[in-house]
Formats: sequence, C-alpha cells, structure tokens
Amino acid sequence: MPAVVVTNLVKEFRRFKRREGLAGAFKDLFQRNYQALRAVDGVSFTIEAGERIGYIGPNGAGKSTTIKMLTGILTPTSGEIAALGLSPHRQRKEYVRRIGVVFGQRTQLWWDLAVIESLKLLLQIYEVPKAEGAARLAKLTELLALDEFLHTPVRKLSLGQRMRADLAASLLHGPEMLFLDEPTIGLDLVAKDAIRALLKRVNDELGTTILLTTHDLRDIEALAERVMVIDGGKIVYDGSLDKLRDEAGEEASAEIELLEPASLPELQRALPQVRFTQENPLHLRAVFSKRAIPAAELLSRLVGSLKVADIALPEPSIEEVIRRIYEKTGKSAMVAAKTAAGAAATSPAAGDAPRGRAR
Amino acid sequence: MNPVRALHLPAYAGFFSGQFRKMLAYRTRYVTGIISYLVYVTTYYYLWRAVFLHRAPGAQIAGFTLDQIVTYVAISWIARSAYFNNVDRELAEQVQNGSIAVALSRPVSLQGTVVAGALGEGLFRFCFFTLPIGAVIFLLFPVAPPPSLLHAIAFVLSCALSQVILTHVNFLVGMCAFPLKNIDGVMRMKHYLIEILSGLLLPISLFPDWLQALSSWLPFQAIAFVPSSIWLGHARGGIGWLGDDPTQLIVHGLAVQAAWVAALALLCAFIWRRAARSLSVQGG
Repeated sequence: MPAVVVTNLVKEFRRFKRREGLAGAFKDLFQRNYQALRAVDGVSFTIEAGERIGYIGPNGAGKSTTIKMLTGILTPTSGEIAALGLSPHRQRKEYVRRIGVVFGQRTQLWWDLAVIESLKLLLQIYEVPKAEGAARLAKLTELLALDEFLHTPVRKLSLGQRMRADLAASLLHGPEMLFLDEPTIGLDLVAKDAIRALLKRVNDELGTTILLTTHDLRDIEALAERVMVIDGGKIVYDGSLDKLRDEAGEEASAEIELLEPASLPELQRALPQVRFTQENPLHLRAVFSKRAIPAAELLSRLVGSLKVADIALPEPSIEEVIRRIYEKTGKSAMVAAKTAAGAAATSPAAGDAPRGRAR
Repeated sequence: MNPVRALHLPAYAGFFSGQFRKMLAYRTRYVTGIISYLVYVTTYYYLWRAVFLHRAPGAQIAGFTLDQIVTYVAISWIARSAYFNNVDRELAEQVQNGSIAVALSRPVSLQGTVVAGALGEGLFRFCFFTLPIGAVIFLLFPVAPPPSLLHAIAFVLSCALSQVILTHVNFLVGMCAFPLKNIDGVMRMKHYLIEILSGLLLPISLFPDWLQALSSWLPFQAIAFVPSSIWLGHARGGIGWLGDDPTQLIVHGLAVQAAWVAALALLCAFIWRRAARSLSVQGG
C-alpha cells in the first residue's frame, strides 16, 4: 500500500482585490472584491514508502502549499489526502507525531535556548520514551556532527549549523516520512553537500520516505530518484530523474566553430531538420532532434561541407530540461523567462527560480 | 488509560518549561519594567490621596477607606505584573510571518501550547518580576496584608486563574489575525477595555450600577477585580454574587474564575476549529 495517496487536491486562497483610484478605494470600503486564487489545482499522485522525491517548480507554483497540506497544516479546499492511513488535517496531532517537517526558512528550535535544550524539549513534546530518545539523540549528534555547537544558543548558530540542528529536531521522534521545504536555501556548498549526504543516509539506513522542495537542481541530482514538477498549481511532470534526462536528451544542440564563414541559408536548405542560429560569422549553433538526425550523421555532414575548427556537443543540463518543461506548459513561461533574464543580468544574486543557461 | 498520558501533559509541560527558559534568557529586560509599575502605583496612590484629601479620617467611598483603596490599587498592579502576557501579539506575528506553520507541525493543540507557554511565562514573571515589584511597593506604600494566610494562598491561585483567562481572551484576539492579518486596532481596543472593565484602574464597586451589572456578565472582572477583592477580604458593595463574607468570597471568586476558564477554553476551541480551515500561511 502506498504511504501517501493524493487525489484531486485543490487549495484556493481568497485574495482581496483592490479597485483603483480614490473612488475605487471608497467602493472597497462597502463592497470588497475577492479573487479566488488556485494555488494547487487538481493535483494527484502517490508516494511509496521509502521513496526520495524532489518536488520542484517556480516561485508561486504551489510547492509550499502542497507540502503544507501534506503535513496537515493547511486544510484542502477539495480533494483527498490519505497519508500513513490518516487524513493529515483531520487527524493532525496523531499524524504529525509520525512525520518530520523542516522549513528551510524557519526554525523549529527555541531561538534563545541552547541546541541541546531545544532537542530535549522536543523529545518531551513528542513524548519519546527516555531510553529511545537518548539513543536517537546520541546517534543524530554523531551523524550531524552537532557536538561543536550543542551548547550554543540557536540564535548564535550559522545557517548551516542551524539547518543541521533543525534536521536533528525533525528526526528525533523517528518519523516515517520527512517533508522538507527548501532545506538547502541560503546554504554554502559545503553545508549543502552535508545536508544532502545526511538525507541520503537517513533514507538508506532508516527507510524514511523523503519529499523535498528545492530551487537548487543539484539537490535533485544528488538526492531524488523521482521528480515531480509543479507549475501553475498543476503537476506537469512526474517520473524518474533518468527519464527526465532522456526526454531532455532527445533535443540536442551543437556548438560549431568555423575557420571560414558559412552561408546560413544554404546550410539550412541542406539540413532542414536542424535549426541553425548564428552568433557571429564563425560561430554556429545547431539545435536538432536526435530522432530526426543522429548526432554522428550531423557531425559527418557538417565536417564534409564546412571548414570546421571545433564542434562541441554540450550535455543538456537539468536546468535546461526543467526550463523546457515550464515553457511547454506555458503557465509561468513569462515568469521563468523574466527570472532567467534577470539572472543573466545580475547573477548570481538574482532570483532563486530555476533558470536557463545565461546566454 | 493514565490521564496524564491521555492528555499529553508531558508534551505541554515542554512548552511550559520552554517558555520559562526563554523568558529567563531575557530577564534583564524586566528591570525597567519594575520602574514603570512603580510609576503606575505612585500615580494612583497620589490620585486617591487627593480624592480623600478633604474627607474625615476613616471616611469611605463606595465602602472603601483610603487605606483599602490604596491596597486595592497596589495589589491590582502587583497581580497584573504576574498575569500579563502578549499572547495575542505573538499569535498575530506568527500568522503574519508564517511561522505558525511550525507551531502546527507539532503533535499538540495550538491552544494548549499557548496556555502552557503563558503559564511558563507567568511562573517566570511571578519569580523575577512580581516578587521584586511587590517588595518595593510594600516598602514604599501602606499596603495592608490579606486577612489570613488562606487569603494569601487563594490570591496566588486566583492570579494564576486570571492568567489563564487573560490568555484565552488574548488567544481570541490573536485569532482575529487569521482573517484580518493586522490586528493592532483590535489589540488596542482590548487593552483599554481590560484596563477599565477588569477593575485594574479602580474597583468595579465604584462603577455606576448599569456598568457593574454589565461587568458581572463579562470575563474581564475575573481578571483583576476578583484576585484583588480576595486579597482585601471584601468586595464592598461590589458585584452582588461575590459577597462580603471573607471566606465565601474566596469560594465564589475562584468559582467564577474557573467558570470563565472553562467557557473561554471551549469558545476558543470552537472558533479555532473554524478558523483553522480558512488559515492561509504566508511565505515559503
């Protein structure tokens, strides 16, 4: 039996829509216009026990809202969730006892208390039997290398340390499932690696089911066996990471450096199944489907007809793949395009949305 | 089944002790608070002295002599230093910044954790705030002791109940943040309402009859008027049901408070159940 079955899940928020101008403001006093916003729009999926799932999507796509419904925090507008045989929002207290939740942007620890005090309080709150709690605390302390800051107040921890402490907090009561909302946000590379390694170990050794949202696709590459992509409140991709790569791999591109300028129209006529673009007279870019023309054939024909200096066949990155999925669904193509442009202009600070390659 | 386990009391004790220790980390913040309470009591002391200025010694106003009213005012403020809390503001902030999600990811009821936390705060305030404030005020002003040890004990118990009542009132106000998001106005209104109708600024016995009658149906009088009356040993012509018999007053006062605790707890639970459905959580 699957650990989680989600059927036609919908969450609508009501947003007050202001009218414009002074007259509009007066009207708003007497009659408010509300706009129903569908953050999650008919989502269905199942999760098997022990899976590691990456849940991704642009900002505002409905990731966090889904997680908050899966953890019993929000009540769905319609649709059903059966998780561990329970209804998360109806049987919240019973249910959350068996899951762990990490919000990357907030801590569940007591800000002013030492880490160890917070953890012991949580053992008490989850009513973990003494011996079991002590054993798990010792194990997590070792696994997450908490020793160095166990007696430091949480407010004095670095973000990476805090996240390690928060992970320990979410695992103290031995949850069967772990939900993480952007657990690596704001962390440096070393800290990210540590978190990923730990999550993998938790999943491997304890069999804990893991679902995490992220904007860092390296999290997905390192962790997720299965990827769900949500956009505009709908699941637009649900499958293995390998399959996602294959789909992306179908469309390939080649970067061609020439020794002598080539005529683009002529080339296009000779190879109609390939889309050529020219960045400068000596640099061509060819985008093609591997089904329409195998890469080897394309290369030999190019080499035969042109004076080629160098050809590169870059592997499409996961970012590229995801971007294509977003663009295909069109819902947030504008948003994606905008953040991509913004990222290109002001990277690396701009936007945490997945972006295409900065060109 | 063991009732302690069934009610998850150890879990709530965790919130009690967590809040107590959190307050402990900020204890120096309360030094300035001692001064403001001293200012309040001084102000009202001289105000009542002025009111009684041209009256014969031992004269009464609505059954209170000057000594009694000074005791009432001083004790009311001392009690307030123990039962006061900002549960409404804290809840509203959690809703506004989204950290309510963390609170809801725990296997306990939000209402229960809020009350447990408030009691933890109350214990802290009693030990590190009320006792020093009380000592200073006792040294500086003519505050009469309670009629008996029983009254002293009942007074402390009554303050604890005041705290639970105020916490529930604040929880209700805080829940307004679910639909309203910003509840500064509601909180200010509640603040003044409690200052007056609880009997903090002056005994309810001094209100006009209609306001006394209205107050007897509101929970606010159970916050300040009841504990202060218990300390004094009389409710002097005040709300009829409290009575003036010193022992009966204890029983009645505590019973009224307990009834309000039960009523407000049920009301909060009822409203929470509805509010939770429409909760929207901001931010990631």
